[in-house]
Amino acid sequence: MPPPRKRVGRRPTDDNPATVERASDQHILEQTAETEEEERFAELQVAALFLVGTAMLIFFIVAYFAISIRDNLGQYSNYALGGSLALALFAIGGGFIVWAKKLLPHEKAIQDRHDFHSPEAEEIEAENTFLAGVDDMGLGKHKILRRSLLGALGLFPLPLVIMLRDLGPLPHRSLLRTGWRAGVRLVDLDTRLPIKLGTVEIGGLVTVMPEGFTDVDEDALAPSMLIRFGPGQIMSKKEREWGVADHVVYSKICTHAGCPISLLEQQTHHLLCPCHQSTFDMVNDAKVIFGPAARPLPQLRIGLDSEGYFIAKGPYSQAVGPSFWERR
Amino acid sequence: MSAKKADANGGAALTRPENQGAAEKATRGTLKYVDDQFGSASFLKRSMDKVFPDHWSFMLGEIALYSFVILLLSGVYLTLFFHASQNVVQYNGSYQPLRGVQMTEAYASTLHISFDVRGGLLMRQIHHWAALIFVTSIVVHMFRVFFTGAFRKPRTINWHIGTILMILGILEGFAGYSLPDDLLSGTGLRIAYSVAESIPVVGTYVCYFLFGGNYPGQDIISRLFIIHVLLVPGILLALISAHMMILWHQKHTDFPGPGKTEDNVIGTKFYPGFFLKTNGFLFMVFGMITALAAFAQINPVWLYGPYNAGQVSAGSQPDWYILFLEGSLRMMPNWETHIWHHTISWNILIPGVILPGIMFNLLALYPNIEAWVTKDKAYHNLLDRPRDVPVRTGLGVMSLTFYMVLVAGGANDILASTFHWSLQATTWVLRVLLIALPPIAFKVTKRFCLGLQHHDEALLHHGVETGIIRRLPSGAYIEVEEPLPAKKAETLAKQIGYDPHHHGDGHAAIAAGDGHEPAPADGHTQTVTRPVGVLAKARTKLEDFWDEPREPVPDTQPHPEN
Ligand code: FES
Repeated sequence: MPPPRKRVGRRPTDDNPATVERASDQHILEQTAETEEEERFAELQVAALFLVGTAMLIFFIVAYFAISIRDNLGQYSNYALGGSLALALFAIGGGFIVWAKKLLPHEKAIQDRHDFHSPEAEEIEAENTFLAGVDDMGLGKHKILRRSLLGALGLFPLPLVIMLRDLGPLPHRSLLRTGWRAGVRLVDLDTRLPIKLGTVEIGGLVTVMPEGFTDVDEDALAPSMLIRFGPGQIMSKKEREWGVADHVVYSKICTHAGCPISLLEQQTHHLLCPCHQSTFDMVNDAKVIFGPAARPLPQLRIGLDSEGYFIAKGPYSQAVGPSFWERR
Repeated sequence: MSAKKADANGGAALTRPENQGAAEKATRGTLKYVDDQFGSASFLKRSMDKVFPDHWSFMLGEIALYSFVILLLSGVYLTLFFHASQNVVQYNGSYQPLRGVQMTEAYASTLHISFDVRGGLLMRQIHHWAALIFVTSIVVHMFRVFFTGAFRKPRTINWHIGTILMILGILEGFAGYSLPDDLLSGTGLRIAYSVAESIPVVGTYVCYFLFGGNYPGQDIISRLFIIHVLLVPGILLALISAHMMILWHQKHTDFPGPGKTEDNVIGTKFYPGFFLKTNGFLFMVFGMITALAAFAQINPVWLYGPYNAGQVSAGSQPDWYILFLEGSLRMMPNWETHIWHHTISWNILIPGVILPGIMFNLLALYPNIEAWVTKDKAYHNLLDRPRDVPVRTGLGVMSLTFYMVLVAGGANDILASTFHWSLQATTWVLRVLLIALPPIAFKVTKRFCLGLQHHDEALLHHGVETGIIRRLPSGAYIEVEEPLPAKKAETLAKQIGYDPHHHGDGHAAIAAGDGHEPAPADGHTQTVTRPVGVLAKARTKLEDFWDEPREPVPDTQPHPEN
């Protein structure tokens, strides 16, 4: 036997048709009303509020046509429209509330709560009916039917899922690709002009892109930084060798979550990512010295072309930007 | 009038009045017309008579509901002008500083709404403010439900629905925030992309399918748009309807008080009292949001400029409900694993995927966990006061503390620069606090709750201290204490005597009239089974822990002679 169910209330419920049949089981506990004078005053209050609402709505309509959106970047229009609409809404809302509080009879109603579950007999009947249906369908008996049904229903969602395939290309190699190739010139992101040796000051940082980049920005991994250090400041031999005359190029895309980095501390040569404050030591192979980024920023090997402009000597040798599963 | 009287007489042979005015005739006619087709009269009558208890904290959910209505209305307006496209165009609208700049249509149309559509800026700001208030009121409403135990049986499934609503609300907010394709939202999307990318094995596939290629691709704005204006709002609408229908069906909970029991509800009838009031409140919420939109600028996207992969706007802050994720990303140590030519970036996976996953799951399942620990299978319509359930309240404050440290982490740079701390020290302090502070918060809260309980008992048994000192004939001095006013005393007795964790196994005394069925009469004959298995033992331990702080109440009734 199942243990007796705990339920709220002392009311016998299982065989009390009244609780089901009764359309209403609510009655009034207390009721008081305002005096006639108070009522008249309240009526005036509510009416005044509704009138204010009407006035404000009219003001809104006038302001819409009268106040130019060109003045002060549309701020005047915004104040007038928003202010009048807000006042209208407050007035109407206030009217409703005063109406409800002052003009309706003050009454406290009490109502029974009913049991949330059905009488046990009904519950059992429902269970029985359901199980009988399962029996009738013979799901227990007809093994082949059951298995073939599982197969069909199991495969049913697949077409829907497969059709999502063309949402995008598969990742593969394009994860590693940026616009940088051997021989491509570095251009300033803003001016789009190539950069000559000697035009960047010591301590300067220029955001560069591969020449011929488009605004469509298919290649959001390409942004890089050309930094010029003072003579002898670069500590790492490899870093020096990959650069040209104290100029080095690093990826601008943070290896943490991909924000573009910009803040170079002149004294310490630390580069700070504005998003989560990963800090890279730019004279030491851009090693991470603080923050949630795990990998140094990749360095781009650069050289000079015959006219003295900076060029890339090849693509980045490793994946740029945040880590992902396929990254080696 | 005559109809009303007949109703009061027990509903014997009702007839419609003879001479009806035109308005009455039309009303009755319409109601009958509908009833003839649906048989809706009894439902209508029951609904109008439904009683709603009054308490200011019950309005929090209403704020969420009404701001959702505003979101739908203002959102539809915005779709009339917004172009969800990443095609690049040259801007030549009214905003001078950006004239001639190349930008996506999404950003250009957002500028158009802001500067060339009259009232467009107002609508944009209404929409954004309403979104903030939507999420905020949901969260505060959840606090109310949590700390008063309103999620207990029979309202557990509704709590689950509510949790899903909150999560969807956050996602919806983030999607909407991303649509204008400005520099700020682009940075947010960039980070979201990286978080998805960090999922082992399938991460890059998820990203490529969602964005239509490597970041940023050509598709994300139009896809986010349809998610933002159709898919998620559709689900929200369905779940909000379910949430409300369940509330309607089960009737609202109420705090204990005079005359209130587990099987009644005292308050205002839905029609006309509650109906008028709640409509007034709807307009007030509309008004508040409109006032904010008029006078408090929000998300001025024209200042940030169009999205550009090579730029980031300094000091960018997401909407507040994303801050905890930002904080967890910032505080996480930089762990990464390389195995068999593969990379797992724990530095993003843990703070961006695993931690929020655990947090939201714990939140959703909390009612089930609590019921499992306390073995409480009873129905609860009366609410707990937070102090009366110290462990739950402690757990709530503990979780909140954890969350707040994460939020603080999202502003670690601002903290550091404001107080001139080093960024590293700030981050390390926050990391330690994230682990150390929550347990302390738990202990302190629990103590505090117990203290309040004692205070209540003292009030009830000894009354209020009046400050009047009287000399007794024996020479001793006493302070005169006055008993509580009768109504207050009754409420307090109810609150104290109301044992929320009585579960009928005979070890908790029940106060009369608290609506619980006493333990089965044959309770003491039940065989006591010793817990077997690790899980069962843990459960018993947890249950002891839960009940431990409840100290014996000597007498729950005020002294009659006082
Ligand atoms: S993206 Fe640079 S630290 Fe997170």
